Amino acid sequence: MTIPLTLLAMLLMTLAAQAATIEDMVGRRVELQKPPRRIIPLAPSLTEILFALGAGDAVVGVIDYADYPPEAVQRVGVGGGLDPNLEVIVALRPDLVLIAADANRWETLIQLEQLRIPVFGVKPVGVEGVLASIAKVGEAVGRQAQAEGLIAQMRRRMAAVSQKVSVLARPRVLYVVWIDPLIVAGGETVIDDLIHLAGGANIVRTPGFPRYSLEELVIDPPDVVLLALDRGGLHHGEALRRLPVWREVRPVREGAVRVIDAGLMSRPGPRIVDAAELLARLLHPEAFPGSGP
Amino acid sequence: MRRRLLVVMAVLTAGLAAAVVLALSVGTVRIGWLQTMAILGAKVLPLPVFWTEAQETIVLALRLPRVLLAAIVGSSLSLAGAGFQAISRNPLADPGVLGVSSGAAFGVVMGVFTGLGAGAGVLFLPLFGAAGALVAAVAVYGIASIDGRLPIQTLLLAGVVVSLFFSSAIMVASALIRAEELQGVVFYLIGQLRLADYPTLGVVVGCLVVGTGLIYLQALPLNLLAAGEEAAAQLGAEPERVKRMIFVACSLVTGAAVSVSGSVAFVGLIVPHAVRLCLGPDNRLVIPASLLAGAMFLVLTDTLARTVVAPAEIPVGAVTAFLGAPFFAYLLRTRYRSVYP
Repeated sequence: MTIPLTLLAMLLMTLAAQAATIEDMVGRRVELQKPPRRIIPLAPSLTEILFALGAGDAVVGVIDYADYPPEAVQRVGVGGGLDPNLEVIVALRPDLVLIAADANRWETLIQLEQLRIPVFGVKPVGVEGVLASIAKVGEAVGRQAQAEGLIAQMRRRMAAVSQKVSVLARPRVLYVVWIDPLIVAGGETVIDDLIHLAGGANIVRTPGFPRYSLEELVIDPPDVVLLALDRGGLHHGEALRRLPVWREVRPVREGAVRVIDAGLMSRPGPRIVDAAELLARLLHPEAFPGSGP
Repeated sequence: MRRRLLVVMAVLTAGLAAAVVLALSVGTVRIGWLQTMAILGAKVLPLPVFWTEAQETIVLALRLPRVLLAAIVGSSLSLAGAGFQAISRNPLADPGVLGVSSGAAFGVVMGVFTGLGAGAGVLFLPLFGAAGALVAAVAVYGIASIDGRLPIQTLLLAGVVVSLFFSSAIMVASALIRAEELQGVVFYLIGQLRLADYPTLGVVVGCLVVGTGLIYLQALPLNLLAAGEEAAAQLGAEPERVKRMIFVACSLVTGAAVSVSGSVAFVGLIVPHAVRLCLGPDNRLVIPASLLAGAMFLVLTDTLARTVVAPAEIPVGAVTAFLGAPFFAYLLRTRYRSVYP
């Protein structure tokens, strides 16, 4: 009795391994020949997820800004996330392209569908959305177990951060994405979740990345200004002190400006836990004695 | 005259064919021109396959629609430019100056703004563009016409006013649009040929064919019009009816083209002028020659746009202006006196 059952189970597993239909995060059903061996992730966050799941060897092309992990830089560049070069993508013969709602254009998805390239859409909304997208990518590339392990580890680290800071007073935070015009991180974003997790309170409740008025900044200043800059420009943080209006704002005047790596903060991938830990240290240095930001 | 037309059309057709072959065989990925030709030829002839599936996809699914689109947009804008210049008897007139391009662009932005064009952007945005062009055309016509007539001075002024109005309306709308949606708008406004699907191309071609027919039928009255409106009326032409007809036809053609390409500057202005400087002012020659020359011009400039900084791309509108301006200056300096005495 046990032998036929085992056989049946093996048969079913073989069938499952040949083709699978998975629903992606933008409401499409994607049929996949499992496991994909030639993957092109069209966002740096997706590249990071694939490498973290141990699927880095299957990554054949990456977009220009995918600079993490360092191995990713050696893959073929397929252009920018907003205008990827379709000729290069076709020439790489991918069996799966991963696309992110926050980093790519819907038009690109339609074009890839027309070229009959399997496309899997990911839409990370908030920290839970990042975890869900890691699970989905794991499913798409046949690495569910690795994805579950990674998610569990991320949850443990985030719980540890929030436990450390939860009893402390929450500083009011303004997260600056762009200085002129002033664009900030609002609600319903991963950054908003991370600020909360790290023991801060984002003063901007408008969802997404809205423009913010300088008048509002002056009349109701935050306790801390977080200035997100590219890794190459981190030393430019001081410039804020010299700008008109800005130099009058309390946190800028009192030196409560914290410069932070935009790449680390804004990529909805596995490194959001690093970002949460870093943020917690910046906002509550007293809770992390001796470690320094 | 007929013989001259045939020779000119034959030469330009050969030039366009050569431009298309060149455009299809260059790109980010290297594919030889022999291979490219064979991939195309295999659609009608039984040829041995000596290319990969990826190469076939690149030529047939990526480059071919884009080259066709460039040809169609180039033709449309040049035709509209030739038509507008003929009715306004002003060398400055083109779809941009007359506000029709801005209207079309505003229509597309509204498509994004209202969210109705989002999602299936490739399909719905063109409809918004065409609607915007017609709204702008009606507005220009309404402002410019006095007692049922369309004087040239008010036409150009009305065009400039409507153009400025829609350009500022686009800026206002862009300021209100959410940052995520702004991306699509910015990509559209800089004038980049998108990868259109064949149904969309079909719509644009349909507009072009109808527009060409309407405009070419008026070629002779347009020639009379060039001699002055009173003279034209005495010789049996109806200047106002001709102008109205050309106006609608040019707007239709422009709206369809702008909706798939954004604001590609300079084509509607310089191609008809270049043709006129080379062939003389006869509209029976200028209109069909502008069609082919415009197609050739945009196919070649778009090829440059997608290859010079590969794997990235320059907006084709930047290339047309960058190359078009010096070429136009040369023509003007060397040939102007013989055509515009």
